[in-house]
Amino acid sequence: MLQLRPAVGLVLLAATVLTAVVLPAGVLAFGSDGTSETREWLLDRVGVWEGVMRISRPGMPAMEFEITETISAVGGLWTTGDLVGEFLGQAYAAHVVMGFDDVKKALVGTRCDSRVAHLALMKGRYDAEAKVAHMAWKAPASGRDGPVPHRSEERLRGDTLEVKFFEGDGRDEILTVTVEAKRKVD
Amino acid sequence: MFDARTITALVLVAFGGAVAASSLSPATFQHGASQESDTEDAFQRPAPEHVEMLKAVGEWEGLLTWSFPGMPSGESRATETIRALGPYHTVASFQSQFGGAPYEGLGVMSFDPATGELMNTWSDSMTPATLLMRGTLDDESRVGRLSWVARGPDGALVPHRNVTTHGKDAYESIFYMGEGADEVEVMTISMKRVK
Repeated sequence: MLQLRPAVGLVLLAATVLTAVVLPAGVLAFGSDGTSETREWLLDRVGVWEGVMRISRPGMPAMEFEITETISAVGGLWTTGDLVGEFLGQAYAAHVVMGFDDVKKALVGTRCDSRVAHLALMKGRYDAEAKVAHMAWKAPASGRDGPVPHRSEERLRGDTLEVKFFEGDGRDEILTVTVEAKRKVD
Repeated sequence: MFDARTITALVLVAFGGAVAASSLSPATFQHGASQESDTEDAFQRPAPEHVEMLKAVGEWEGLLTWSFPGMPSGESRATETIRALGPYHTVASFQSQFGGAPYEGLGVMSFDPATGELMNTWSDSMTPATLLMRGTLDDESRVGRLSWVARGPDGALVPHRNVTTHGKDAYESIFYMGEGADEVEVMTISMKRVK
């Protein structure tokens, strides 16, 4: 078997170098289609957040555990979120990358965690008026064949961050996870 | 009392993972999962590809050289730190410089047991677009091949690919842009493990 990871970590440099050489920096950094509002919102989230994650399923007891999420900026384009917690004595970690993609003209993200093999490829938009980021993706779900719709709503109100995760669509949609966190002030 | 299996099931259902329906019954949540199924095992037990991915965890450094048609060639030193996120994913942080400006790249590598594909997403501090690469591994030749679509010189989306040859603690990766007779080699990366 191969040890592929390091090479993959560099794969996109070719595209990056090419893009950086060909396109003016101003073109790369700003757009006129809500890009700036979205990136401003993304960067407003940068910081350390402490709170709780609640997991629920219909007919089952809800569960709650404490989490800490550190959101960092990568240049002015992307943010990474590293969430850690201990769930019933088991360590839990999640990693999220979010940014506005000029090719897709959308808010995009990648999400993975230490418990699930699935890599979520998210796409959505930031509603600047409502101050809510909507993301959607497809993933397997219990008791269902094939991928099913998932979505999230992320709200930033001052020093409070709330994220809700939903599974299914239409009348079958259920709320599965809620994260509520406060910005840590040193 | 919940056991590790049940905890996994909870998180799986919460974030869109896959798990056998039998392990998600109310009884399971109340008493802990006890049933096993091939489906559940297939998703929860790390695949050989996951194990191989995690062998890359550590610190790397090396040199990348590029030569795009009609443009000056160049080179830059680079470092990369790779960490594990559980048994299924790795997260990479890559640093270098272009034109005197700092460059930081972010990669998430995963293996999809359902499709048998390696998946890697990449975002960086200079590019306002994220890329998704899909690839395969050749166990015997120790060569990895990945392909993706990205902007070309005229801004249009064109196919890209790379071929990576691995040694024990070093690798070389060659990048190509375009397809067929129009394909050109645009970059080479040579890295060695530091830790």
